Amino acid sequence: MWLEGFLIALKPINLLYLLLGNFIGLIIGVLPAVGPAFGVAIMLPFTFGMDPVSALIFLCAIHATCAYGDSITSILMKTPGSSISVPSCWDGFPLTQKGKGGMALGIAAVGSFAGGFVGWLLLVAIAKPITRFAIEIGAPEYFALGVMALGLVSLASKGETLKGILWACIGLSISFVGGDPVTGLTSRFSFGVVWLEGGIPIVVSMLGLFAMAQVTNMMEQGETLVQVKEAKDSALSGFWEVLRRPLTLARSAVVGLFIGVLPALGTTLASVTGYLVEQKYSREKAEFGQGAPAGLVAAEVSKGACVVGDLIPTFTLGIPGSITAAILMGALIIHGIDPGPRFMTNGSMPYAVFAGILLTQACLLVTGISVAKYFAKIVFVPNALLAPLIVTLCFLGSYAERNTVFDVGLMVTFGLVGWLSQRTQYPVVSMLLGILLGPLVEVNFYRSLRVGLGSYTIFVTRPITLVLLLMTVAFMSWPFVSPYLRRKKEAETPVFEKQREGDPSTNPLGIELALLFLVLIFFGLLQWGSWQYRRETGMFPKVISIIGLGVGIYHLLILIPRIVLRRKQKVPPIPVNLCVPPWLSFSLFGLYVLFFYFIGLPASTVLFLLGASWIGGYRRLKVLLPLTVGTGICLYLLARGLGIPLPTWGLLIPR
Amino acid sequence: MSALQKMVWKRLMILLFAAASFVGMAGLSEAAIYPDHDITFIVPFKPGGGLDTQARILAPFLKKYLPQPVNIVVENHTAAGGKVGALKVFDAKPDGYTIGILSPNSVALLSVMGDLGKRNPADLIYLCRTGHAPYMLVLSSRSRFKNIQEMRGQKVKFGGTTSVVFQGALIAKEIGCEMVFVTYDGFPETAMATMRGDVDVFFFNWDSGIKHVNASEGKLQMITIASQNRLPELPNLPTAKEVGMAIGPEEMEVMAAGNIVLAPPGLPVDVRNTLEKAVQTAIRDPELENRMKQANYTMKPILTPKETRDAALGVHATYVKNKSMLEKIK
Repeated sequence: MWLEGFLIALKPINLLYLLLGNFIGLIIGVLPAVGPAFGVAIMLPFTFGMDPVSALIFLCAIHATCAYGDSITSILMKTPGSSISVPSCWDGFPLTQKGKGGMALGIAAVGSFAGGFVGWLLLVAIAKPITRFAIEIGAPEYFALGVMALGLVSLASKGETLKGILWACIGLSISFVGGDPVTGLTSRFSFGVVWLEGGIPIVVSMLGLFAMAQVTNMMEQGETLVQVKEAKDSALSGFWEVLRRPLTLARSAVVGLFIGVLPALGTTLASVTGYLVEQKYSREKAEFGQGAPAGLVAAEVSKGACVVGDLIPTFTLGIPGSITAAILMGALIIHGIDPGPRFMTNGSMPYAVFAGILLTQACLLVTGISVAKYFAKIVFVPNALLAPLIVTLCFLGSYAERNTVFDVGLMVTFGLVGWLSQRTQYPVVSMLLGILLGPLVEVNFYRSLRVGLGSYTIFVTRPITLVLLLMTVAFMSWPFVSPYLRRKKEAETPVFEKQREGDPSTNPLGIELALLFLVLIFFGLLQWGSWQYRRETGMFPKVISIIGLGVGIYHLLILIPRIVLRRKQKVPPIPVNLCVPPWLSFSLFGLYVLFFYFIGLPASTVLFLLGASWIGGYRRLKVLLPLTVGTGICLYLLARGLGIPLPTWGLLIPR
Repeated sequence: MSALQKMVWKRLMILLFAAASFVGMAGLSEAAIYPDHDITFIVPFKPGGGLDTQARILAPFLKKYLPQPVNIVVENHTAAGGKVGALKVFDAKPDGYTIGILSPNSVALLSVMGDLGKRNPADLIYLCRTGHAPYMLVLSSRSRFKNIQEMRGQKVKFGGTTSVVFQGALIAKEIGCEMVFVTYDGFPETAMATMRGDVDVFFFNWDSGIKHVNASEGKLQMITIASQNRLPELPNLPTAKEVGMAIGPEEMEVMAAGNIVLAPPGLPVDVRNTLEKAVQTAIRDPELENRMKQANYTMKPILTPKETRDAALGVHATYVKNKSMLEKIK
């Protein structure tokens, strides 16, 4: 069977599709703001005419390469293409800043491959027993897992615990927007806006919080991302960096696979958890957040393992582990192959697909290493030129999800939130995890109650649930108990504290206080608003807003004495070379949204790119004009050629 | 400029002018014939789902049977659980360049929940029905019940997605039990939950779900099917009537999966005729039926536009009649 599978996968036509998929995946992955889900969804219609095996190899190649390509921009520019590569920014970007971008990309390629390979072994070797185990994981267990992950977040943000909890609460509040958690028949916190009735897509919040915030920084700093003149490293050194850390490799692969195998948890959770776990146990934890190779290895291996691990529930249970896997599953169905328990009974086809997945991973390694050198040069492009281009891609990415300009405006708003968080050293990632975990915890809580016919005992009578909840309690209480046990205080490294960057140009305490007041008002409104809904729909919002109010007021009480202290010390503000002040950047983004709505994407993009680069200080028209007009034409062709419903002319020429 | 150059120049201009006017005339004459450019096909759910799959299978066949082979571009408008897509179809310009695929159940649900505003499902232009399969009731082997009789008067846990809460309530009414509805994100998730014993029963369109029963190693047991007669494909499965559930014909129509292809209200008659003809020919293409079968969808019985309309509006009427039941669940 295996030999036959490999022979089919190695047929010239399939190899051709494999390479093509790799190529397309790399391009889509490298573009910031568009991730694997976008790539697979766009390419899906092109596979209809293909033979099922070729189609699956093609799509799996796009899926895997996109996931790797996503890391490239995270590492080089700190602008993740989708939420799955957010943790790659944390140590990848500092490495780039040290002039080791090539090595970091090498680590990403090798890490993705290593994770993917382990995932593949698991997929082919023990898919069946794992499936049996995954079936037993029900609503109460998912609830317990969600609570555990939330606990991990608050623990990880030690040093800034209060800010971490506050931002996680805000993230949870954002996740409350949408359908009610019990039947989904009514909506809450949608304020009559139809686009809010089904909730806010992750892509929109993620692009705003991470990519747009970073772009604002880039516009502000001007010059280029990296000041080091020439990169002195090679991508091949990434091999060694990964291989000399077998423990890191093993830990991250286990985390990635575990999360990948359980349906409905998703790849983002895998890469974030992989990073956090490594940060807790690694010997290099002191360097985490400042360019520790181990951190990047962990994030990449977990992600790679989850990307392939995700396919296990997709193929064997018919339950997709992520959005991308859901689209892959759709492709299977269209080609007349049933994902699910009978998948393996389709003759040599499944073996050919599995062989194809392995070849994809190998191909990814080779292309990843060989193109790293060229991609690494992108950091020497002036920010005034690079940043506006990334903005355009963010606009495209957030628009493409639901085809509405509303989402683009929402994304810019999230950008403002992300930027404010950076300035005031709030951990944005806590918010992202709140957004991701909110539905997991809340929906499964009510689901469990219904499964238990309304009795809360269901959370303690199921063994797996009980173990998970006890583990969470142990986790949470460990920092308080451990000093008594070990009698020595070990300095924990605050992960998120180290993510501060950009020099605070204004007195941060002023902004911080204002922000805190806004946050308190927000939670007050949430508390007031949640009373309008019936008991079950309003309960989680009520609880979260009370926690938010409590933590916020406590934080305020701590801040006030600090202000007095600060006044006495009189710290002089650090002078910064302001290229484009943030207020101007956000005004430009706002104008871009308006123009997007009125005159369509291509035309508004040309105007925006010209304007923003000009204001940013890049005024060589010989480069600017062809670049901007070319981008506009490209967007126009993209809309026409790929059938993406882009607003080509906005309201100028109504469709 | 020499005389020769002048002449060449002049001739060139004449040629150009002639070509331009020709193209212009061709454009004018073609504009009168529908269709002359791409048709947008709205799908209110994500790529990869059931509606999307059916739309994408249908699209190339529709192109084949239209008088001019224009592209059928599938657009996924996913937001608010299908509401945005449905509204797009309702509010599109009725020129024949926008059509959509919706499920009659979801249109009825939106209408009854007041999400459609003043829009009336009766105004839509119904073109055809794609796929039709009655629901089948499945019991978990780990459930405390062994048959329908034991469920009477008891609290029974039903699993399913949000979109089938109404059908669940109807079935519970016929069984005479109290329903505790547990919502899941999708159909495979519900099947797994039932295998786990977290819920007692669930129901699904038999064509795309039977594989789960076959692969469950006895953990899922088929009890009954919501159809008037036994299905030729499943001769051993008793009908609802045989197991003592008195489901009326209107309610039976609600308990089936099937989607409809629609055009916005107010479509001009000639455009409507062209579209109807193309769609109706397409769904009778044996190759299309094959592809649908490959993806586990049964096309039969094939309905005319009028029959499609009657069936869909029948579903709507049943929802309106049982509105109070929905209010209670909500």
